[in-house]
Amino acid sequence: MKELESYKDRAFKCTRCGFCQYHCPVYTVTGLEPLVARGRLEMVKAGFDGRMAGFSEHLMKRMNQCLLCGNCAQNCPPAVETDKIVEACRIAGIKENGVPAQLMTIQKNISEEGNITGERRGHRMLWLKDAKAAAEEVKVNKPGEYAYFTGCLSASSPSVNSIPQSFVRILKTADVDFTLLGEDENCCGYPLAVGGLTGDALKIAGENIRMVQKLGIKKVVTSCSSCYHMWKEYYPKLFEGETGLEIVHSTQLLAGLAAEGKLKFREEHRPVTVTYHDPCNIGRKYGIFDQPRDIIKSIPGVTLKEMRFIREDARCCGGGGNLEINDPALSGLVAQDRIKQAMETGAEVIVTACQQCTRTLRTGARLSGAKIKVTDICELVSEALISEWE
Amino acid sequence: MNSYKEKLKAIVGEGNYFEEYEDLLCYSYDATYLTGETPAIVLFPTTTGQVSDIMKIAYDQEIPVIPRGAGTCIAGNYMPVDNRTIIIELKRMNKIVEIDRENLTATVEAGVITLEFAQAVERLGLFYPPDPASQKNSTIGGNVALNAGGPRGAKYGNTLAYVLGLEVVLADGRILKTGSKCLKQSSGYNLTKLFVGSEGTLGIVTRVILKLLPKPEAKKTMLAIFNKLDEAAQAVSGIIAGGIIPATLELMDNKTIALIDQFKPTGFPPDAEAVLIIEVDGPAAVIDDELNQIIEICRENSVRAARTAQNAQEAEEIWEARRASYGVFTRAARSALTEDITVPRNRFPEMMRRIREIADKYRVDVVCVAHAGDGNTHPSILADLDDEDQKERVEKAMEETALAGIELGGCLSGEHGIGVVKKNWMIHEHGAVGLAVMQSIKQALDPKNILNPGKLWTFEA
Repeated sequence: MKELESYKDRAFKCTRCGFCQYHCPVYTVTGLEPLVARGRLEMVKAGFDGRMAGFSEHLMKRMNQCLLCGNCAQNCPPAVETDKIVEACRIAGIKENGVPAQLMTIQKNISEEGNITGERRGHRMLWLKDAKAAAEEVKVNKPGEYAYFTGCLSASSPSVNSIPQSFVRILKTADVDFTLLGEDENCCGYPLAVGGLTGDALKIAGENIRMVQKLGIKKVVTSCSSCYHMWKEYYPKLFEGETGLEIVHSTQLLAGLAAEGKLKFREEHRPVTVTYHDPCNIGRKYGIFDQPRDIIKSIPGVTLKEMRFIREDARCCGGGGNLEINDPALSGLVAQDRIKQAMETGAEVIVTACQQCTRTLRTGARLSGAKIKVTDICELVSEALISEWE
Repeated sequence: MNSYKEKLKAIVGEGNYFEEYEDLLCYSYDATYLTGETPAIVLFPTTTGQVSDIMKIAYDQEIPVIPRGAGTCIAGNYMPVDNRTIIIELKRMNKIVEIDRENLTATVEAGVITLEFAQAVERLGLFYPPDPASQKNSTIGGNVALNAGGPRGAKYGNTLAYVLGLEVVLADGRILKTGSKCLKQSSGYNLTKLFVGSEGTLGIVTRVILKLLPKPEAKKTMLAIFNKLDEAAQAVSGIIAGGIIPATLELMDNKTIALIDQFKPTGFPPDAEAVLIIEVDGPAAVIDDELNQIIEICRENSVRAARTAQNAQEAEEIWEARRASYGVFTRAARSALTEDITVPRNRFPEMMRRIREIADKYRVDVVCVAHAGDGNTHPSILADLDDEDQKERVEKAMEETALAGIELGGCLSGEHGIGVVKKNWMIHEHGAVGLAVMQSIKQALDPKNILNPGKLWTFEA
């Protein structure tokens, strides 16, 4: 536990009140103490006071079953940042035990093909060919006001391809000057960074940043909350300073466009009741709560009904912190719990603003047989938008 | 592997059986400042039958068993004292079996979370009053085992006031059913009451029948600020003596207010020696009158200011500050050792004075909040227990405070239970006869002393 020395005092600040239980999505569905902040901190403490030696495989399993959503830290009476400590454990655990098998696959895929799934790099832009907006009119790797960083899942996972397709259509309709990054775009590095492979994340981040800088672009927009978190917080950290880039989330850009009157919606849009799921990586971490709600409310016929846990208190979808990679079954249980909370509102649709949340929640809805549609905010906006890009 | 472990695994199934050392470490504690022994196995049964089957094996093998809920107790009530311990974790028995609107009762499994139950009941226009500070996490089974209370105890009483019947697995695995949905029960020994507050030492509660109330029509919240602690305490006694029972009557002392102001400013004046948070509930036509009488009594006791929340948000802001107290204690010190002395309500001012005197005598840092309306004080000593000299003074101060409460006709615990923390003082409250009777009951129900051993009393006493 020597590597964690700087976290020792913080871990021992835990008074074991157990108040983290209520806020932890993984504990909520398992009731298992080693899966809540209090338990994980006890293992760390045991490493320091001699009850345990080093980072055993089982300890790492427990650390890798954390969503890193930060809900416990936010509500911790003595303010212990357990998410930060778990991340530190993952880094130290790899140094001691090597890379866990499931992460090794991701590491290999990213290093060979630049994406998490291992699909050929040459396939990264296939989604654009299916887009409604005429592909030839969309800039790829050219200067512009914004670089749209699509992210791996949006680009390669057919179930969420329609997110970048929708966003591109909206941007074209609103006459936003943007470029895509084409086949050279890499994974943002999120699974590597939160998995504990800081060095690999640093390398990939450098390639992404240089690609944007080479085009002379100052603003990066992304429709993925994990990519946003990486570009916003990790990239400057990895580079020990400023990247000189402004990072914008799709919801921020869309809210701006809506306010400027650049998004015109069809009045005859079918009335629909929706609820909104706050992604942790834009909500709790950066306070982007109002923009998505403003956009939703600006669409005619759409009524927003809120869930029990929203904004800072929103529960993670189950896809955070690599949980879907590390323990798909557990991730599915968490997703089903979030779906249950959404169902309580009576909404027909869950809107979110992240490709990972969209994917995890779709899995959750499928697993629980819930009659609720999961959609990304880009898809919702695009569907109601009056556009010549049909 | 030992064959009894194989049998236990077969009872609960692979996914409900844990014996990895790292996992077991997470059951070596509860919310107390102490660390216990690391248990041998953690089991998550899902039915009463499974609990019964587990107990038959434990009884046969004479292995200690601790039933556990959320582990939010703060007197070392569920901390293992033996490394052979089997933890029976009831978190996965969490169904609300029935809410019976015709009889105003509910039947729940032990692992149901208190707040979730209270909210489910409220959605139907009904009311389950017990509101322990840990209600977001604590379980009904745990609340029954410790007779948990909360701010509303002043008017509505502890969990005991709501328990009508129980399903309990005994030490040898037999399943006992006590009570019924009847509000009046005069039918032999009241076994239901016997198990409430028994801290898992007599049996394992798996199912509970609870009494519900209609939801009060209206409530109002007020904040009264006092220059002197003694005046606030006298106002509390005055309100009770005046025949008014508010739903909650909470007191926070100056150190608490000042700490909250330091970490999470909420607008409570840091120079006030005490504030009272008073909530009245009931028919809308009545509560304004009650509130006016309370304000009058506060004035007679030199209140600096009394402010009634004008809407739900203002009321929430007042409660927000009260709830922040525990958090700021833990930010201010490494440990917050909380006591639970409860005294007859007319001795409350005297108890508050004694707490302060003892703190000064032993030079310990005491902050105090209290459910003043039922005489329940929560002095917390803020301490660093790694400092040996300080630790000794803290222990002496805790003991002397406990004994002072007993001297005033009080009891060691109003709602947290005894656990290991207070067990050495039990003799002072209950006397040799009292403890002997308790031990006879224990002997009759748990002759092999396998249920949560090492708690409640010292056998040598």
